[in-house]
Amino acid sequence: MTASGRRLSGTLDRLERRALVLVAAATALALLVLFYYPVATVFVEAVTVDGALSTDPIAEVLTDRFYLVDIFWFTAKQAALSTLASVALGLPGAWILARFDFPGRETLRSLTILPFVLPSIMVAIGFVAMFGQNGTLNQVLSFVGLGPVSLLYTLEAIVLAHAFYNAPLVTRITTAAWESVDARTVETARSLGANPTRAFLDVVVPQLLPAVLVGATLTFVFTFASFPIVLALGGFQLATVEVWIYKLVGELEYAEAAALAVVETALSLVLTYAYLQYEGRQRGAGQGAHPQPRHSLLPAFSSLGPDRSSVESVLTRLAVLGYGVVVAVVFLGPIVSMILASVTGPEGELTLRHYEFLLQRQATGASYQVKPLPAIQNSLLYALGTLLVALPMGVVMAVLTTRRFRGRKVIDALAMAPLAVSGIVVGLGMLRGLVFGIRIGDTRVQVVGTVAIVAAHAVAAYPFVTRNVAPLLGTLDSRFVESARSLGASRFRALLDVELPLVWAGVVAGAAFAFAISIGEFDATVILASGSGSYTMPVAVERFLGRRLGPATAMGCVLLVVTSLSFVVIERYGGQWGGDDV
Amino acid sequence: MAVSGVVTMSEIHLDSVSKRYGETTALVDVDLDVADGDFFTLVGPSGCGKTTTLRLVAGFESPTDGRVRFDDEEMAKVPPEARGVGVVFQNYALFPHMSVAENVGYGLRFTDPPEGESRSERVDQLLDLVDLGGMGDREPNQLSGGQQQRVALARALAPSPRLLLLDEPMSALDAQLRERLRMQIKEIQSELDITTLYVTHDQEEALAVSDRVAVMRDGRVEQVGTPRDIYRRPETRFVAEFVGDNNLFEGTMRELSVSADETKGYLVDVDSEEFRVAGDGRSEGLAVGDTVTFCVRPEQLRVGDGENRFTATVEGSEFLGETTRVHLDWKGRSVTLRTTDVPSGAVELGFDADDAWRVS
Repeated sequence: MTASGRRLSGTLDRLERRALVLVAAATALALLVLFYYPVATVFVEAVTVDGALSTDPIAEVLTDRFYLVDIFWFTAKQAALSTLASVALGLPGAWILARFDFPGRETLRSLTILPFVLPSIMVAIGFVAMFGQNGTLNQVLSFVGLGPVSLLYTLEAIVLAHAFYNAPLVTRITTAAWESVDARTVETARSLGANPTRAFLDVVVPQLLPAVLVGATLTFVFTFASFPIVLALGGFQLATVEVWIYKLVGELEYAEAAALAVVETALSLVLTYAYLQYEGRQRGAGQGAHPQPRHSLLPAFSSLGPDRSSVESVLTRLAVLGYGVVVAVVFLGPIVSMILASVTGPEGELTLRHYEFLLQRQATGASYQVKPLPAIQNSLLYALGTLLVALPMGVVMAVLTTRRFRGRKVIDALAMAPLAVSGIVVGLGMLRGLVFGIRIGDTRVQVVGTVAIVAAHAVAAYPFVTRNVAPLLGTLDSRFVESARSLGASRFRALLDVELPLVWAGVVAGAAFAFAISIGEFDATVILASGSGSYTMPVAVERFLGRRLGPATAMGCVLLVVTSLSFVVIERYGGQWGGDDV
Repeated sequence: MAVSGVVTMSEIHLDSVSKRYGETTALVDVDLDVADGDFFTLVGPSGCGKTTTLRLVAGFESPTDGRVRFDDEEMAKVPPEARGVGVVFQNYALFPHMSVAENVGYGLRFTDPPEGESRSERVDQLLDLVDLGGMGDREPNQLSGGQQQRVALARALAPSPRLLLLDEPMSALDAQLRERLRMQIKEIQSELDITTLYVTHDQEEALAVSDRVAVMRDGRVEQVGTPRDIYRRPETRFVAEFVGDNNLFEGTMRELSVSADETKGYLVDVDSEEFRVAGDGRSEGLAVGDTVTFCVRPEQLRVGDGENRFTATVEGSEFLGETTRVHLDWKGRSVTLRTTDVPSGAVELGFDADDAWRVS
């Protein structure tokens, strides 16, 4: 090797040695520019009037009866009701998944991940198709001589849609806890004289309760900040904070929107903090060494246990069956309704005209009109961009958060804050800052909407990469890395050669999550894409929904197909553990 | 079994090294010097700081105070990958996504094999060295524990490290395999003449393989010496009791000089019986009337023989195969005797002054 060659390789070595630090620094910078700066923009706007510091905008929000009662109280109320409904709908599912065996159990269990990849605007449109004036429900009711009922634009519709979204989450978290209950603890209670019910109440319930609470808190956090569902099913009459911010932005009332956003963010942060504190204390319950046995649901194989009477076993099966019907209606209903509505004409006849409309709009639509192809192209492009940004960010964060060092908790919290701050707020901040342009010295820095959208998606998506990769990294024996390093690998090389191959499934699942989140993201996109051609599929669905249900459902079906494809990837690579503790 | 590889001279020095994790202190002011080519063992109960010491040498941790040096080179700023250390862990930490050959060859991605050898030749050579020739294509999980351990050893040695660090490498194996493997490790070590730091909690293993042994306790080094010294001439009560069986007698110093030669011997009064104890050259600061402790190994006690005599009562015995361990009572103290003939009732026991060693 020549002297200059050696010098070059020496420089590369040094670069490689610093690679992890460099990527971490880039991640920090990206977070700063893409998340903290926009949020700060909103914050500054909320505490200044004409450039002078003032508490007036926030004070106005906090003292206004309309905001306090109609907006904040309603937001909290619908979140609380939605949480109750989600727990009520989710718990029986956990019981069935944890305690019974039946064909397709594993598939059903991994299907509970669906809420994370289903675009919320699609759920919303499914509910419109099901509960609307000419929706599936009213058609069924009129067929049996009842109806019509008007569920749209009611609190019930919002709560039901939220339950659709969050009940599987409750099911998933509780099932994991139930499966980790050690059968021997129950057997011990029985041997000490407790009957099955007492043993369940005294031994199993206390072990499930923390998981149920985690699921409920998470549901409350999510539904408190829910946007597209409330927008589509409640409109401005039943507006949550998010919807009202969106309305204010649309009316160019940025200062008021900012003030509202700050108050909402503060509340969300408190809720998320409470959740993380609680979740942190519940960690560590692994798979029980001896999980309780599952009963077969199929009568052919066995009864429900030696000590159960056949009456009881029949009742149990009936209960399971009843729950199955509810699940089918609530979960399949909206999606089937959406698909049906997309191929149904006004007289109830089968038709492809909605899809034809999309094709025609694509061929002849005016430039300001929403076309399907650009929406698909944009969605895929942004999703790809999101992957490129969110994957390295998420992986580096996972590496940092699984290591022990001083200040780790602070970094952890700062890095996970995007989970707690709504897309509306990030979108608003980006719009007001980078997209409208900021002045640095004499030059005006401006970012096009496309870049801002990818940035907002990446910020929303990378925590999911981290949450998929970090648990695997955490269980990885630190001696793998130490062995690699003692053999001459730099820290970065050890990450590439040893850690990443071993947690690859998590990286792939994280990538699928990031992809799906970008595809389905609505909150920030709808703000950043307003009035421009950078709309995505969900935004297109919403714009069609304002005028015609048919094309909106057709567009929704396109979205469903694309989303399903990314779900297949998640299921293929990460189904068995992906998101178990999301 | 000729394995080439330029192993440069390497000494390890720890200069008053301390290590604290927050409130807990893992190492206190540790001084150690490992000579070039030594098989040096750190032994002690769990939590004594032996693994921390190894991790400081490997560079996985940095000392809170003090210095780690290889020869004269200060290692504070040197990352693990630049230290030239081969590490074998208790669970072997074989990369599960790589074949056996890929595992062994991993370190060769960062360093050239010795002059005139290709990487694959080097890998084959190392696998031959640990008697695993032809196993290169296997996956680590297809191997037995002992085989995995040997792969880990080959992997550690492949880049010709200047030091070999072994962290309880055999504690997951069964006793027979352990004995075979430790002899193999010892043979390879002396053939390569590589400075080796070995961590174990098994004092028998420590005595069997080491050139020198450091007994550690509560983050401090209690004693450093040859296995023979550690066994025969323990300096502290802890070392005397930790390594092997021992009988400890506490008494009052009667005379500081009982022998005519330069090393002073002692006369110690234990419960109104006087015992002669070997001189150890450490009598400075001792005075007549001080409370002192000495120890006698169970196999050094003889029935009806020896300079010092006392009569004890047999309480029970354990048959160990080669010998029998007899438990006796002498004036309320328990005394242990190793013998092949099991006595009963009241027995006169004796030992020579040379076999009695004072501990502090």
